[in-house]
Amino acid sequence: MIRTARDVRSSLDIARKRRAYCRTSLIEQSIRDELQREFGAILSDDEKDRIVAMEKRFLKARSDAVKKARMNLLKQKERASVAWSLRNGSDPVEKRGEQENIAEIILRY
Amino acid sequence: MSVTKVEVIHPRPDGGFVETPRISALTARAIRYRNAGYPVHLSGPTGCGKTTLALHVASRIGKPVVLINGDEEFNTSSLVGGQLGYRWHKVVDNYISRVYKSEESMSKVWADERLTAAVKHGFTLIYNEFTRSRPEANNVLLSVFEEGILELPRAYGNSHNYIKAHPEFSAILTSNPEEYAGVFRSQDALLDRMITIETGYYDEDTETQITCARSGASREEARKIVRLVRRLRESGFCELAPTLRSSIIIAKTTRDPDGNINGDAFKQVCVDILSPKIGKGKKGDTNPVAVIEKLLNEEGLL
Repeated sequence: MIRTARDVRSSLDIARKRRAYCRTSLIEQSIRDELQREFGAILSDDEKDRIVAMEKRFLKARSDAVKKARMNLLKQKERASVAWSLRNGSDPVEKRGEQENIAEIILRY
Repeated sequence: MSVTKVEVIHPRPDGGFVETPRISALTARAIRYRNAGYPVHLSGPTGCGKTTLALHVASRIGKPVVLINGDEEFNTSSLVGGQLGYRWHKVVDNYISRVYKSEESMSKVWADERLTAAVKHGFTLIYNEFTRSRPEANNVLLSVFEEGILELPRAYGNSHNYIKAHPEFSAILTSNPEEYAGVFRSQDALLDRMITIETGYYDEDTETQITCARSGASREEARKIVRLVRRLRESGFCELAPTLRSSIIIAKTTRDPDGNINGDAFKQVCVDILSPKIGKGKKGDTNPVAVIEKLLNEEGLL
């Protein structure tokens, strides 16, 4: 099997993504330890909480926006469907009335 | 295209309904079979309370009821529905003023009958005296009871020819095996698909309580009338067995405002109500009045 430079690069990428130990990461870890000893935690708990809350707000807003967009899309489809069924001779309003056209009486026995 | 115009019934017990241990037991049996997914068939002689029991069971099930009374004239469309008429439809599209486009269509209008409505919406079907309908009219029930689907003719709707039965759909059928006029023998396939409960006549206490509640007579007077009717029923003189209905009629027509039997009219009412049941007797030599007088004397009612 012939290995190309592209194969090597991609396997390195995979290794980095899987947090494999490499020289760069060891250097970064040593710098991090040194700075933490000198200045304390990189991010305080409060700051982490704030970031988490902000991210949650962002995710919710994005989810709502996606739902709204999907709803609009479905509305458009439903409008088209109603118009299409009416043009084909089936009246959706009359069909809906079928369910309600049930008379009820009470029988004493 | 279909039009649904169905009347549903909500059965409610009134003051004239009594629930004795016998009725409770029959109701519990019927509900057990219904909950297991089987149609229930109440079979019993005339006037034994099959229809009232069916209504009571349906009331306990708690779903709206669709009531069908069997009839010789029935056919499949009497149960599932049929074509009611035509609907004409025209669409004019003049969106671009110089282009005139029109479409016209005519479609048959389908009207659901009671069985279709019950199967669709999960109502309880009470098919009273179903053997009064011709067996071929009831064939449509076979697939409903076994496979849970209602087969409809091609004319129904645009595409669907089958309706899957609603999970809450249930059926209670009644019939009188002793009736010989205007009834048909049911197909074995239909009888095999349902659970038959032989109701028979109620016990004396139940009949007394029902007579008492329906007529307003006192308990003691109602008991006397019920005993008289039951004795006549079991005497073997009758061409047609007198039923609980006879007891109620006698009690209603002879009681005074205090609930006591009015002695003057009592014998005459008994003769009027009971003598047609005796007729000329099985051998043709019976005197109905004499039989009734004898029973009244023996019961101490004269």
